[in-house]
Amino acid sequence: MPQPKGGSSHRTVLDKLSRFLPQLVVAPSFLLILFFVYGFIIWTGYISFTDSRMLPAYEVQGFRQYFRLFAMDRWDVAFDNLLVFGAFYITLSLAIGCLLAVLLDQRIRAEGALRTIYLYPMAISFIVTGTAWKWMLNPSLGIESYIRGLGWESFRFDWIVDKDMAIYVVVIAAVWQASGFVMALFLSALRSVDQEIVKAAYLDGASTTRIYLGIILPSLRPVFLSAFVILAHLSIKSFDLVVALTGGGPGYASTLPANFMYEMTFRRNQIGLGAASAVMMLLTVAAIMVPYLYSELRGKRHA
Amino acid sequence: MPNSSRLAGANGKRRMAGRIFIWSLLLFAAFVYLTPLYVVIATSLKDLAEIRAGALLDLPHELNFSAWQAAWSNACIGVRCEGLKPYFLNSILMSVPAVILSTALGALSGFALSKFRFKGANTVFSLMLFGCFIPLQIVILPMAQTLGFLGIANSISGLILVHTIYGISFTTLFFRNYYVTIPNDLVKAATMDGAGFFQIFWRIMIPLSQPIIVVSIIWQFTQIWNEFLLGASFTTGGAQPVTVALNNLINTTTSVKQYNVDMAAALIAAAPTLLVYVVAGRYFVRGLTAGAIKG
Amino acid sequence: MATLSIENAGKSFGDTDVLKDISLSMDDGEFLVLLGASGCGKSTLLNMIAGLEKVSHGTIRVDGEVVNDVHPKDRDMAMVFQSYALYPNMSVEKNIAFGLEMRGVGRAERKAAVEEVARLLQIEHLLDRKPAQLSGGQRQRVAMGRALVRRPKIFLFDEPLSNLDAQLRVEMRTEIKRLHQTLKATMVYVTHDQIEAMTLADRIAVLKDGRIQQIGTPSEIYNTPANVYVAGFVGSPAMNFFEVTLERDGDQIGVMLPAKLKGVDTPYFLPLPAGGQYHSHIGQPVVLGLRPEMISQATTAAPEDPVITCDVDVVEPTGADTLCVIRLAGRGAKARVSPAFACEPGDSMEFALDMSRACVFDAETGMRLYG
Repeated sequence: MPQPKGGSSHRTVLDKLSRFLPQLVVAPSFLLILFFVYGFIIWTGYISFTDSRMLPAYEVQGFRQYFRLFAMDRWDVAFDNLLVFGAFYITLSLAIGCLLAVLLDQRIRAEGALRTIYLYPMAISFIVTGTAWKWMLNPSLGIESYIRGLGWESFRFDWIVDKDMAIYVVVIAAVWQASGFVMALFLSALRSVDQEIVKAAYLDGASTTRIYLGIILPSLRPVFLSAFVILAHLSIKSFDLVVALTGGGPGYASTLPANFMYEMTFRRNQIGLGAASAVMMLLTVAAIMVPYLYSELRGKRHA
Repeated sequence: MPNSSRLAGANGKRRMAGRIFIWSLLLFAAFVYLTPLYVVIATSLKDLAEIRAGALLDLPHELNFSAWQAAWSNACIGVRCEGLKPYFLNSILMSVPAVILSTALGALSGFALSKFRFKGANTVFSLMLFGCFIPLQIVILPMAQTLGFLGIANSISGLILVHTIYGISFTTLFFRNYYVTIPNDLVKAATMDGAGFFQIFWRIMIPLSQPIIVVSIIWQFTQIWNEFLLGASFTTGGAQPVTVALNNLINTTTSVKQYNVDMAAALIAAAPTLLVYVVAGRYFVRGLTAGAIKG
Repeated sequence: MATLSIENAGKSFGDTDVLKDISLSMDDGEFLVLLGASGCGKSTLLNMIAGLEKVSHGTIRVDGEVVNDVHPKDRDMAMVFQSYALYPNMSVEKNIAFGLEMRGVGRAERKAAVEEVARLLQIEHLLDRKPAQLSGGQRQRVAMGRALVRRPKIFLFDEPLSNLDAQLRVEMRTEIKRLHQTLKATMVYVTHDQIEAMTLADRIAVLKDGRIQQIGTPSEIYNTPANVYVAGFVGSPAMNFFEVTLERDGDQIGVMLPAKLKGVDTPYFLPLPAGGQYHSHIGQPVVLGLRPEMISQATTAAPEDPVITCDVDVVEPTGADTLCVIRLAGRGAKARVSPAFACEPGDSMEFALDMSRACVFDAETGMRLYG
């Protein structure tokens, strides 16, 4: 069918464009992520295979940086600290958060106020948290001296300057910050438990404790899993809290891999080594997150 | 909720003991959670002599705001003695644009990904989602070089860019999961009515998005305001955000350690996000749980 | 005003075909109902007509023009959704006017058009409200108003009444029928409710598993169903089916049907009027279909109808009629009798079978034999 040429081709181009509008709209964000996340991961991975020191070098040297990394006591300490920190941080946050949620679930009149109190640390930056706890745990002016002042002269609580105990100080502050979050997760899950099942269990004569242990908590398995995954990846990313609380010290006794990476990259001009440690961190996170995200997204698609 | 009081014949005394037990645990926990905040506030109001006396948990003898004054306007951070004020302003200049930009981009992508299931939409979403969980250490080195290349190293513009990009993953997650719950029929009806992509977005979706916009803004603001690693890595001196300045202040070694100023500074740095939490806590919790990928 | 024709249309999602080889054509002003159980593909077909789903194979024409690649907004159709899909943030007036606004109609003209439609649907007093402040029935009217105001070529309805309570549903059904009579517009209506389909349609298309089973007027669908599925889907209570064998008795062709009387199966030979057409099927297994109203009290029946006597197991009065459950050919069957003649459960009663309206289906394919 003969048509005015210019008008029709213009129209089809616009039509085609409008058909792909959703893709076009996502494109900028997606490309940004593609470049700044995935591109940068590859970039950092590449640097980790070079001999970069103060400035990036681009000659591939194989796994040299990784061998150096694994041979360093400082990295060993950081990685062991991560395991200790992660284990205590996750277990304690889950236990305390879950306990508080169950207690709050007992028709507590002041529930709103208590919830607000338990959760406020989550709104504060790690730097502020670290600053506050550093002050409280200061042996000469903090809790230790306060308790001594009350008459218990031999009381000791100087973990923050004890190289074997400093990492547990980080655990305390981190649990203080995150347990309220776990509580919020569990509380909202408890509120969505099927009440008919609970009523049926009551009619069958089960006690409150039995109902929680036997019916309600097992039904919260997915929440345990989400909370675990979130806490695990947070623990791997933990950086600021150590900086503000212990500065990684005494010595490097309380450093975590994130601190190691920063130290190597920005203080010691060991960019290649820093990159290698960043890659190790990413791999650790990916080992936890990829299976989780995969199953979550798959599950949703089937639902 | 299950409650033994519903049961006829529950032993009154045992119930009473149970309630006391529950309440004492809850109140003890509240005490533990509140102690650091109390200590920080109390210390910031004491003078140095009183602090050195060592009574950490005692109330201050009198309300002395001079430490606050010092922390805000003349405490020394490194070599500059202008207090936290300029850095506080930096954080505002950095977070406001980054929050707005990342929320806007997240709303658009979330809309396109949820309401127009084009081929590959799920893959695109999964790839974007993973961006929520990467340790930022993995991007710091290339980012530093890229910022230098763009000529915005050591600047607030640089931080705005960085925070916008790494916020998109979260905001997209928020908006996508929210829009999934809005019936597709609305989009179909608007399409039949002749509305295009942006008309549907602007006229139908955005007016329905008020709660998730609040969640996104609060989450992004809290994250960006509290962020430390990126600020510490990409800025020095006058361009630093408040968290970095606070850390420097605490670790500045002067002749006399002014704990009251440190604590006042910590409170000032925490105030905006605490305020947001108190005012809009409900939305804050929603953001946190949305981060747990519970649609 | 428009005609619609669909030729060999199909839809596949990946490897699964949800619609196969759909062909139908509609006259201008016709009311077509797409009827089927959930998952049969009827809503997908409607969305394809609307342009909201791409057509995988075949063509869709409106007024003879292929519209496969025409954007929904350019097809000049309007749709009423099951969920109503009212824009929650807009007032009723804005909701109704939105389509006109998107098409660049001026403010004054919009207002006039909305008022006219509001008068027609008696929702003038609701124009300033938000959808959340409306009852289900009112929302339904607004959704209709949104479609009406544009005066589209074709109206599409996607189960518009299923979210209403029973009484309102009947009222709105009448209202839709009246609208169709007034507007004389082409309408396609999707439902799973066979009564809606029967009452509203000029023609019904019954769908199952993505295929059209039969297209016809309500009486064709009811009286001469194309297969066992259509026969069983339309009509309430459903048609009774009996697996029997076609037999010859003298010059008559009919079926042997055992009826339970005092606990014992008693066989009856039921001749089929015009049985000659089944000649070639003698000795073959068939499915005999009898609607409940074809089994009724013998007292008032036509003299040529065969009469059987059997036990009544259960009696279900519905008011206008009473349903009696009896046992024929080893299975429960429902008979519809006048309440005046109903007996007590456990009694036995005489029923006449209206074999002139009986349906006979091939036992293997389920397709209707002749007639």
